[in-house]
Amino acid sequence: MPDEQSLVRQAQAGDSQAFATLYEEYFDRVYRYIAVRVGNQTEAEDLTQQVFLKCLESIGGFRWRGAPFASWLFRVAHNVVIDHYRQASRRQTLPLDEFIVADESPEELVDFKLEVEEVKRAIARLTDAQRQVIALRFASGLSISESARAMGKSEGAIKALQHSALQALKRILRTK
Amino acid sequence: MNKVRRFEDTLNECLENIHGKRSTLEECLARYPEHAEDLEPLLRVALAVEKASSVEPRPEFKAQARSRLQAALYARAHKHPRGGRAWWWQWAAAAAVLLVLFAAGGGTLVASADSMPDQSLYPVKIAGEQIQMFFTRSDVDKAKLNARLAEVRLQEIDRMARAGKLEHVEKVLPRLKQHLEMAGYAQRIPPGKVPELRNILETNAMRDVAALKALKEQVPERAKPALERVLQVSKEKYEKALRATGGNVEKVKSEWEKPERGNGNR
Repeated sequence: MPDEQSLVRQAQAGDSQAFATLYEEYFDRVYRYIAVRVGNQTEAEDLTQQVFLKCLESIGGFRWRGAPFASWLFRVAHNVVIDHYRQASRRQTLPLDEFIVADESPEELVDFKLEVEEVKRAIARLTDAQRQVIALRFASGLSISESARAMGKSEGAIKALQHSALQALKRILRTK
Repeated sequence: MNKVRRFEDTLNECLENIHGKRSTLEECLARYPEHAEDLEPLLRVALAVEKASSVEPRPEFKAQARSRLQAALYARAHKHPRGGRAWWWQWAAAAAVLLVLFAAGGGTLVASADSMPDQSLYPVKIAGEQIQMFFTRSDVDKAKLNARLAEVRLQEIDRMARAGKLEHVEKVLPRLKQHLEMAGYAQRIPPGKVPELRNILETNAMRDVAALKALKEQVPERAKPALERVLQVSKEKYEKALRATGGNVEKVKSEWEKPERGNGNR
């Protein structure tokens, strides 16, 4: 993506094309982040749309203070998820067949879906902070630095959370 | 504490190397044999998590979300105070959008196509272009449309400069810059499609810079600094676009160095 800083500035100035470029770049990543956080397709779709509409409303307030745009965007996504939790005050487990899974042949899909379901149920049992770091690092591909800024924590704290999340998942999956 | 921190750094390094396909899991374990017993299960869990997280949004949902965003972008672009000319402006803007949406393919802008930056329907023209861009699906078509819109911006700059309306030249310049930037964005274009884009950029780069140089010679003295800025931006962005698409930068630059000829009319 050419010069993200220019795109963001132009989007802030009202350039719809610039905003649309940012939207295309981040849409799938935000969706995956929310899918991991909430574990439900319908809710993930609705919340993903909310994230970008909120982004459109508030992008004028974004300031480049050493934090990348991705961190700000995923902080917006986090706040949308938190608002959703407050309103819903429940978490749903992921229906097995609803999500489209990338790049699997039919023969592999049966075993793969069982494994996917198991892992997703395990993720749902993590603490919210652990689930958030899993979503940022593994679903959305943010770097340690970007994740740290999105969560308002140090890079060391993110690595520690990542470690503890994977340890917890290992324990949960081994005890099934 | 230091021992724990080093393991977290090692774990993270392995995760990033495996994700970036710089190492396999086995290579990571071989690199850190002292941690292998603890690392292996965590790396395997991480691989399973990454696989489980690779969900894709439904195509129908993406299309619906895109339409909703388009509506929000349009509403944002057309916010205006109540009263006065609002009613007819809304009609003109809506008509422009409908005409763009139902027009034949191939990048034709029907409504307000000839509006200049100093005219009242110019925002409608820009909104129509942005909506057209939004609905342009492939990356190569977006790049080609941006190249075409850069040409449109240069036509506008030509008209405004000749009319002595330099404030409008300055207002159009950022859009020109953006179009040229996006015209050269080749990272997601299939390799087979790049030569066509490259040819367009080479042709446009030579033609547009020659026209700008000729125009600069024809306008009053007070307009020359603004046109010099446009010229420098165009050269910089075309050179960047040509490098991104494997264009013949040296050939284009040698054309740029040739003395101006012709009357530069667009």
